Amino acid sequence: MSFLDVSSLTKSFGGLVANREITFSLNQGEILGIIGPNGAGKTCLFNCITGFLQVDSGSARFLGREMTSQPPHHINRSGIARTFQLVRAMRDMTVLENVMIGAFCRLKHTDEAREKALEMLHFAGLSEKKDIPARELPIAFQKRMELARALATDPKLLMLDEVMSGLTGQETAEAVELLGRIHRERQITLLLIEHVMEVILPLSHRVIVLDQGVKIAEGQPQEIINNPAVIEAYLGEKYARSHKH
Amino acid sequence: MVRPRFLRYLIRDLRSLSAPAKGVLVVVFLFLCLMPYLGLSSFFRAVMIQFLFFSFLALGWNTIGGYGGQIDIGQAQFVAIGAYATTMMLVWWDVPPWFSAPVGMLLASVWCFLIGYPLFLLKGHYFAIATIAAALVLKDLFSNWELIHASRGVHLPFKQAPSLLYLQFHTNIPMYYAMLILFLAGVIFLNWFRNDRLGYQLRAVKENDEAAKSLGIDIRQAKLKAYAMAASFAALGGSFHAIYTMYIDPEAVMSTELSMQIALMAMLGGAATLWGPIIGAALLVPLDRFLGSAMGGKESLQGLDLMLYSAIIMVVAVVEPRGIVGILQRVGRSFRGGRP
Repeated sequence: MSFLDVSSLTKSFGGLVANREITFSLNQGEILGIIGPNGAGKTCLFNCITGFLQVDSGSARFLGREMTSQPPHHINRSGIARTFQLVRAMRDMTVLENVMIGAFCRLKHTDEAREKALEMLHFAGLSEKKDIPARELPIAFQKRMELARALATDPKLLMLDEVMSGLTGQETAEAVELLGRIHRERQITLLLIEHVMEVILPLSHRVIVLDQGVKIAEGQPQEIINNPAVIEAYLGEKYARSHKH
Repeated sequence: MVRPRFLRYLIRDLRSLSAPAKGVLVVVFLFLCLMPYLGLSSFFRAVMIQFLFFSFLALGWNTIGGYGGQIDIGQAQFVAIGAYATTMMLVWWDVPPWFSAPVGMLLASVWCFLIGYPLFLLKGHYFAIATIAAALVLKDLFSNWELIHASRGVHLPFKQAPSLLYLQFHTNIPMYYAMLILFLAGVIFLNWFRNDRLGYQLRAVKENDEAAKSLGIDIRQAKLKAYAMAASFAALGGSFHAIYTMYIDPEAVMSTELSMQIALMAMLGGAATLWGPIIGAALLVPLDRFLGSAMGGKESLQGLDLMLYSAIIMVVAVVEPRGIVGILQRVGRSFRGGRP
């Protein structure tokens, strides 16, 4: 039984096919990156796997169980947590309360949830910000808070939609470090979306590339950056042709 | 010693109050407990009963409307279910309110699940409008239902002697204490609710339902649970209303005006706060009484109270959506100099 198996997943909006026959699998303990230019269908794929969108056909099996027919809260409880491309904070609740909402996924009592949330905030380096309303946090901290909140649901698989976007160089480095710790110390499998390749390549064990809704490449990061189809998708046909030897 | 959670929350929250707030609370509590022996008129007692009654209903509304952010303007239908359950069971089978009130709460919960399922497919203003519609449909049904005396209403049968079993007395003092106990239980319940898992989850749903879903919250179920709590509050209030006034009809217990008053008191005082509904009721109940006695006789001025309510809603929405509690917090903050 594999960890996550996505097969022939297809989703279209009217005439536009956002995901066409996408197939890939993910092993436990792996860090898999999904890259592709804007509009490639990355976020759509995330939404299909996490139950936010209904697929047209195909399947996504997590630990042997079909996910595509289930509502988002079931999928979360079966061990998949996610973050959003644009942070979705409970803006009027404090940072601590936001993370407690995640902890309440598994815990019934407020005191336990608070304790767990404090632990997650400490892990994410947000302990000092715990009593600030989420809306007052700068974007880099909001992204961290969202990570801590997702972690508080005790996921086996964490799906991150562009956690690095909008961050400065220094903040990006810190985020990469945090993701490394999540993977190492908490043994959580990671599935990352980025559209900036430089961020994701050093972190990922394996990368798949989407373009216009189709998977065009899959492999080690080194293979990916030398793949002509990928270069074409990112930099245009002309550039690819002029670099052929 | 293991204390139940509602008690732990209560003790902790009382301890965390500032000294002046504690003082105010003690004075108000003592006043409420001793009020019948302070030589005040029976009319004043009646106003106080009405204040406690509306506070109780507004507290219940606060679960779904305040913390859940689902503006329900149909609470009167649940008040009516409680009132009619208690009344009809007394008329038909001589069942005392002690037993019929829980039945009313149960019936109100069943009804709220039936209508809640489709209602919660709607959001925002559409939800609010649909709750008005649902309440009006039920009111029409009750107004034409011969079995429960249709729009003529029902008189509750008087007992020969004062009776604790049937909650019938010579003065309104025992009824005042009955309502006071309900009110205090309501405050303690709400304090449990806002500190417990469901309260947190509902606030999350209100602020960002997509994020809430992604964190394992079953939105529909959370809303339905809170709605059932609000409905049970309303039904219990309705049962009290029936045995207190000894006469009910659809106009009195299930009008849109009543639904609006309940929602308005909570919003004016401060939705999603513990004290907001109580402060709102403390302001609007006397105002309502004043308008009633000052202008009640004049046909031409009928509906003035509704206009006033509408104006208050608009002012609250524009000036401070968090109501009077929000204003107090702002004032408190500026006194302390900047943010807490």
